[in-house]
Amino acid sequence: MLSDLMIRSYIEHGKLGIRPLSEDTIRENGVDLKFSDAFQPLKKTDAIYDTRLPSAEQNPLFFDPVIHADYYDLEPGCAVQVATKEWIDMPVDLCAMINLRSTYARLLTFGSPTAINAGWHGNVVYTLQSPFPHGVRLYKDDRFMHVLFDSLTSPAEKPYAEDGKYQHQDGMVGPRMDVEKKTRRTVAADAPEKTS
Amino acid sequence: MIVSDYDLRHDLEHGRLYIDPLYDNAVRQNGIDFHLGDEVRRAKKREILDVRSGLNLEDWTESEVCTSFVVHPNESLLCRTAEYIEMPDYLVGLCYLRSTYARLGIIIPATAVDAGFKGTLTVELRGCPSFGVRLYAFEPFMHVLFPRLDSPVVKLYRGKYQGQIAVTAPRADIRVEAV
Repeated sequence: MLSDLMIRSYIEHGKLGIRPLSEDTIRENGVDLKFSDAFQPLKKTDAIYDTRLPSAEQNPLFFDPVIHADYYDLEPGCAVQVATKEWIDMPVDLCAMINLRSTYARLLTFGSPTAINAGWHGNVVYTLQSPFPHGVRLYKDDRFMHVLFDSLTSPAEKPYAEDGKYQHQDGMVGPRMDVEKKTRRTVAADAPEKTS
Repeated sequence: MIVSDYDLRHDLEHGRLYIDPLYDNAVRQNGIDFHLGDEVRRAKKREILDVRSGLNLEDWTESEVCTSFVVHPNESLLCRTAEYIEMPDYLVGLCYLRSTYARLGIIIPATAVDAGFKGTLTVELRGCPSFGVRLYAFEPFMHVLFPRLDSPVVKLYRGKYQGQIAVTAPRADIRVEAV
């Protein structure tokens, strides 16, 4: 795992990009990323989001419009998509792991840990959820995400594709299903027999 | 260090890491994409489960074999990977939900695959609080990173989930000593 010293070295040599880079971005063993001013609430509905339908990225049935504000009140039991203020340029020899900062975890908010792939560029998008019974006010420019970086055993042979569906995502980008369908694997028919 | 695509292919080709089936394009820049299996287990009881009771916890859930299923708002269920995996003694697996599903508010709690483990992976999925999501069997849903251990494991995994194929409910540790 990269220490603060190594992260600084990667940035200074132009291999890892984090912009803007604030004084409080680089931590002991990772970086903290901040809320941008964009918040996109997931809408409460009885409808079912079907992941095989054409991209429902901006489907108003499931996503409210993006709100640009200094803060956003995440109501109890609700979810909101947020984007980081920082733009990340991943080198081909690093992988990153995203976690919520402890302060937000202690506020009982949560989200799914995810990974950032070698060669990816963009703002990180994350879906944050609040528990019952309280909501949480989220402020732009507050640090909420902790990112760990680890070296790969060799540079990725096939870095995240230039035409990858989240490559160069600028600000808020919802789930993209349609592109995924074009590249659907054909091996499903050979998948294992049903078991129970 | 995390094993790169080049080294993952090398490990797979030499049988040190075994994954079946290995889908086209499953090996990514820094890990392997796993696909949803065609079975889920949902909780069917609302009572308190005493994990020291020695009860068969399989009774607490029921299995559903399906080509697609809905994760309802705030629901937790167990699913499995379509892939069977055999882990070598020098790797650990770290499981991450793919970004597309994470954006929908679905969550996989932090999950690790131990060195020496063999079987399909049983994984908890938590539903988005805002709406239900229909997921399909054999779609890529989870990305697994493989960090190298600093030395091969002396005691390989030989635990209670070794060899699991179906979605496997929790197996309580039966404690002999008085509680």
